[in-house]
Amino acid sequence: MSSAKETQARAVEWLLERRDRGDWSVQDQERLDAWLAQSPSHLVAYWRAEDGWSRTELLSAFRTTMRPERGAQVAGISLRHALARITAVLAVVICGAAAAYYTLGMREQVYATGIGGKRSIVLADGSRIDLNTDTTVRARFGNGTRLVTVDKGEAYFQVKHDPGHPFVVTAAGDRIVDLGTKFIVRNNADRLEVSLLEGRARFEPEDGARGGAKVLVPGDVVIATPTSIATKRKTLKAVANELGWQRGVVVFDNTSLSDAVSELNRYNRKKLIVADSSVARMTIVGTFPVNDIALVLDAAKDVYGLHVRDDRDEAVISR
Amino acid sequence: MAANAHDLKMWFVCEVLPLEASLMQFLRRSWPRREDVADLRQDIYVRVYEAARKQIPRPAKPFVFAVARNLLIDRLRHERIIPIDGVSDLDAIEVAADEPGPDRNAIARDALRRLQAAMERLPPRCRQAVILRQVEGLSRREIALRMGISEKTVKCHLNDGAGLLIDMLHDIDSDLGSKP
Repeated sequence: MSSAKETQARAVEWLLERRDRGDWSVQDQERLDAWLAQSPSHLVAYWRAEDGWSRTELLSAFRTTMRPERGAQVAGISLRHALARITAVLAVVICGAAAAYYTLGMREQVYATGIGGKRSIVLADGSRIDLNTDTTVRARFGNGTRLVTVDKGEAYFQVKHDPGHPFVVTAAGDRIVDLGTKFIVRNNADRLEVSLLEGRARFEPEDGARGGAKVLVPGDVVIATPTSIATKRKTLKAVANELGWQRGVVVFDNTSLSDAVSELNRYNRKKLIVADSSVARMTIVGTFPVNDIALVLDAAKDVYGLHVRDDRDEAVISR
Repeated sequence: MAANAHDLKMWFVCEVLPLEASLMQFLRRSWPRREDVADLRQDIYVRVYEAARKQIPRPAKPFVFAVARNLLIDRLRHERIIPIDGVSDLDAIEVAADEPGPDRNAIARDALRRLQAAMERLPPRCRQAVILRQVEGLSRREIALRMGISEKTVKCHLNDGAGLLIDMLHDIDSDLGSKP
């Protein structure tokens, strides 16, 4: 065997182990990361294996169109016939997601909300996803995997745990693997935040460069950017406050006015603008309806004695 | 500026790997020993990756082929066994300008055709194991029961099958190589 073939065989073994094993642990991930870090040859072989294998995901589309009854017939599946049927309905193949999955339009469900929108989805397995404002997620089920991608926005996951079929959420290339869990994923441009409310989940960075995988416990908040990953601890109450939007409110607890305003702006077309930095640093406490900008402006005027210029598309707050 | 890990991977997967079929064709044409080409390809990928770590070269195609040509020239000098026309062939290599890509439907159909061809070329036992896993979503244990073999053998069939598929899906002309 040539050395390239050997490296490839190893890469394939790692890849299938990682995909197949329900009990893939942090230690396993560390061993894989160490192997990948050992040599660029390992890394490119792994990428190549991942890419090649992802193309066979097309096969899982057969599952809905045909289902061999008995083992004896399996080898005799008419690939040609089924492929012809799939080709007829197949619309889009894109190269884009972090794993460069070839995505089948027909198997993938896209759920989205607009600005100010909210939506609850109950998946076939009983898991539930609540979408907050301006959010897009894609769900792909089947082939023993449950995969949801958060393209943008914020989603709250309540997962029905099933050790044989891991529930995996990807966002900005990083992966969250449920170990029996309620968690929030918030994906803004260049900043991914994962907060765990209940149970356990494993956070797996796309690459080893920003650190290894870690298991999250309730109250953990992971903040990942393209260059760094940090974990901070919050009280459960603080994490639960982040779910205020489910009741249509945001909860501010000594939040700076600039953070509060950018939070409220997620929900409304009319944007609030803080005009000067001394105002931006003021802190605010209280619970506000997400869509009642007038209330915030009144508070700014009456409680903080600030000046408000209220136009149709925006409102500017200043001294 | 150094490329970030995510961009680097996306670039490699989306722009370098799709060149593999033409890269392999080039290597087979230019190098006298067919059994070496997998190693050459791997070395080229490593060199491409190392260079891209500093800065991602765009467009990818001329860069990848320049790396390939340099690597072959190094090896030819080193081995000193190749007739001179082997080398002159290297200069003849054309790197076609990128044409407008085919539409997405065509790409999708093409991906399916390749997959179909690759599946048909797998050894029967490997194919069966891959189908049970990828089509039916069975676990190793379930596949072992269905096929009446041990889990360990299932693992071998899946690893072999995956390895062959990965080669063929990048380059359908790849040798079925060391038989599983």
